[in-house]
Amino acid sequence: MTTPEGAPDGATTSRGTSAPKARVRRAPPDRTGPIRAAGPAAAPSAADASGQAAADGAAGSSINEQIAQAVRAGYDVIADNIQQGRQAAERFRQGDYNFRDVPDDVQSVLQRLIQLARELSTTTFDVCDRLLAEWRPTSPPAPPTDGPPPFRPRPEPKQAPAPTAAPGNGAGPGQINLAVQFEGAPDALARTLWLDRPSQPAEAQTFTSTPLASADPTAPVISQVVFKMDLSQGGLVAVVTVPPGLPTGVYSGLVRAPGDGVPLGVLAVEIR
Amino acid sequence: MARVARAIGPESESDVTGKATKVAVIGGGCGSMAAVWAMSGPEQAGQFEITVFQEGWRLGGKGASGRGPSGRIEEHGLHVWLGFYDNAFRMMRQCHAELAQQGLADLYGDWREAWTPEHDIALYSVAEGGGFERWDAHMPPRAGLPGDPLPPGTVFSLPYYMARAFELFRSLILDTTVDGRGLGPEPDSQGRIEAGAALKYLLGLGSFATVASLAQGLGLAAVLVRAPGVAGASGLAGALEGLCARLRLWLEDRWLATDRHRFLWEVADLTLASMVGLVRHGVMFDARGLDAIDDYECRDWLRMNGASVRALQSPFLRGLYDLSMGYENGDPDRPRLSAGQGLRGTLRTFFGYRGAFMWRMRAGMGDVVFAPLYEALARRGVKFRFFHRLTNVGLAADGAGDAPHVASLTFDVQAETRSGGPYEPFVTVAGRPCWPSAPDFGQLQDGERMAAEGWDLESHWDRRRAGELTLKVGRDFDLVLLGVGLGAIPHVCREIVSRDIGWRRMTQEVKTVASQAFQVWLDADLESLGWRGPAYITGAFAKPFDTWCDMAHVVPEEDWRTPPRTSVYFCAVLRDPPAAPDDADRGYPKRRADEVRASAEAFMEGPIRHVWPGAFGADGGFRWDLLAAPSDATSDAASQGRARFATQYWRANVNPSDRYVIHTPGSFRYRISPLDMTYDNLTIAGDWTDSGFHSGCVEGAVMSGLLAAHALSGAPKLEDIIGYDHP
Repeated sequence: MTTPEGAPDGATTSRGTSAPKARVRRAPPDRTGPIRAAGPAAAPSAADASGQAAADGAAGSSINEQIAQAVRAGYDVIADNIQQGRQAAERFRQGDYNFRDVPDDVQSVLQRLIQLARELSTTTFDVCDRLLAEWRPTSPPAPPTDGPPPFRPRPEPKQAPAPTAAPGNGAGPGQINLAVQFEGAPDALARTLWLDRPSQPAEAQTFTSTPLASADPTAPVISQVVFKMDLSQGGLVAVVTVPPGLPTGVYSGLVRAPGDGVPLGVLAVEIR
Repeated sequence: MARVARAIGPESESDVTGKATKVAVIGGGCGSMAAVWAMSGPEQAGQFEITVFQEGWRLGGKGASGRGPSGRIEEHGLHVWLGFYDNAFRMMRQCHAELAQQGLADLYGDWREAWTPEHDIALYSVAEGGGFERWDAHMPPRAGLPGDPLPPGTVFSLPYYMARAFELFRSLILDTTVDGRGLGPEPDSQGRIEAGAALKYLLGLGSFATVASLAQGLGLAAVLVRAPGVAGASGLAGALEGLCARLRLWLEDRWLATDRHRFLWEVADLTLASMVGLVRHGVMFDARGLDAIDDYECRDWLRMNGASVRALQSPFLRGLYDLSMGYENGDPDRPRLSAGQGLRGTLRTFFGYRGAFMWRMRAGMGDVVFAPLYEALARRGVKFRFFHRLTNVGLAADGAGDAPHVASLTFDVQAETRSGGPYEPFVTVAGRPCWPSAPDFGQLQDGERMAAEGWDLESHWDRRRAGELTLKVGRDFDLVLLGVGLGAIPHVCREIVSRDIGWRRMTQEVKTVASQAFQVWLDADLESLGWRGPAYITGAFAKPFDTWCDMAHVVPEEDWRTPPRTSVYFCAVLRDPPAAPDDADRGYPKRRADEVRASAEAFMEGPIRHVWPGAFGADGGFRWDLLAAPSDATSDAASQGRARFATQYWRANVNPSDRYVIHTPGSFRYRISPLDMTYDNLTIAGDWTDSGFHSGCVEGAVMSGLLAAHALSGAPKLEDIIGYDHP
């Protein structure tokens, strides 16, 4: 699409039409960028805003109704699913599982579960479709001021390794990193950096530790140890509350998860 | 390896009449070639008289490859064609068909012989206790083939992608393996799968799949109901958010336990964060599409929308950064990619492919892409002028009452042929026309001297030349298509950059990185060295060579007396020096290449141990004798130990035009479109332009070339450039 200089606007060359010595120019394109509009419905214009409140009220109830249905369905499916999983796991553990109680075709079980997900997804997209026409973009949140974490998974451990583990290594296969937070003893030191993973899914909050005791049987113990998940600290976190006046020394206890007969490891801390 | 003389086709009618519009094309990379392909086709009826001016002896730009000793393929890096490269595949399919019609099928074959589908990738994550954990993904075949016409009514939309996300999720759940173990139930020692164990496994898997999907869908709904304009939604929003929070905890429990599938949580997490972010930021309703979030850094944006720390460190995400070379100044500690293009690339990569997720080339990219293009274009009458290095784009003087335009093009003529005729660029290897890794000095005037003095005709820092050529507008050219790499723009467009703030900002804000690559040829296949295959490409591996690929399939295309069992290609970014080298520093490329060699040798002795344990001897050292040396006496085949690495191939891609283009936050607005009309006889092509797909890749370059062709000729229609109109 080229235009010889001096030619009328919009005129384009075809082969052989550019006059001798006339400079050839490009003709302006119809547009200079891609069409990026992404959804099936465009954002409402400012002119639409005056009538928006009434529309909100009228449309909102039906949408809310759809969403409420989605929520109820979600609750039901999830509750059923979790319950089934727990029951199945419990029966396997107890050894009274009867294969005839469940469908013969294991593949159909999988397909049924996936279909459940799809059905709910369809519901969700139905909700989306209804909302598209009503959406008015909000100001997006400001980006965080600190950068994202580096790709390297974590800094090298600063504490000494636990005596039960090979020195210089982090958690190995089947193990999970453990971070220890102290309350009441800012100088305390964790001597355990990882534990075995539980053999079955379990909430971190359900982990328990026997009271952390020192080698001196007459010394008081640390009885308040709670566990939580915090992926920003690498996974599992033990919060150890150190009673005031506790003598210095190393205190340790066994960590267990519900359903696991074998302890996940020894939690050892040093009070300094 | 023999030199060949190519049969030049008849010149076009326009050459005879002299009335055609003369187009000077600078550079022979993907962008330029796509534009020339579109403008030289029969539908243009010889309207354009096209001359391609190329530095050095070969086409290809960053995709150039050559044949070295023993006919081995020597690449700039590792090139993978993804299954969504519709525009690029369409061009190459047309090219192969045209050559076949002209009786050259025996040389170039059908495009399906040149590309074969690949479905398996491997990624590595750093294990919690050190070392690496590998996981593989099999991307299932999909309908159609890349380059097929899109089904009528196809519109790229975010709702479409969101629906496809669920399909991918299922694919990942069903087909992914970790450390070589499938997601299916484990067979017993006799290979049987016990039904009860299978059901127990599937129950657990189904539970995971369902809940992860629900978390995704409900997370989206939770955001939707926070949108203004929906009355009385706050209560529901709270309920949904609470539900999602519990779901996240439920999944974290699974992650915590001994569960070899726990990495799937990371994928679910990233997907959830993406979907939440798309809605929260109003992208689905924004005329800017994904550009609306392109000021954000990709990982920042994911974190803002709920991605966990662990997901932000996942091999999926790191693989994205590695493959995009998304590290500012080549610094592995400075990952930096924009969210909008990152998501656009991910969506197109995972949900836009046809046929196969990836396609591997039969041989080098020069052989498979640029050799047939050169042949077909030459037969169409396109002229090629090798050894022409652009040094200046001259603008018309201001105040002449004319619009800004290019008035002159000045070249260093690096060499002239002895015959005065065209340079014949090909050699024949294994019966196929190929580009050599070095020019044929025998065809060049003073060629012996140039060879003896070590002229590097592709080095920015080697300015030796045979002469100079200046072309004038109206006399020698009418229109200009500038297809050099972005890094070269400040050097060849000094006038434009000094007077035009748009171009100046583009050169400042659109970032490029240097890259490094090496290739080894091994007398043992990787399986025998302990690699479990069958992955085609491996990413997110150890620095500095995080991405590598087993290229055993190209060895038969080479010309070894005793063929090695495989070849393996490695590539990655290369950190820039604190200060740019002086233009007169002729030794700079060699020093950087020496760095690459040292890094490569250390890499073979270090991280390779994790993937090829069998490549290490009883003394714990790398078995350098595995390296296959060329059999044509071009190197010391008897060298031992680490010195044997000298028989392999490595390079530092530090030339300005070779630098890889990355998409950093906010840089999209500084890209200039080939459709831009500031200079009315100039357009641009390359993956650095505003092509609609702002990624350093073949497809972005080809889209840019098609836009350039549209700017100059009106064809193709913008609507026919697949994926241009895209969120």
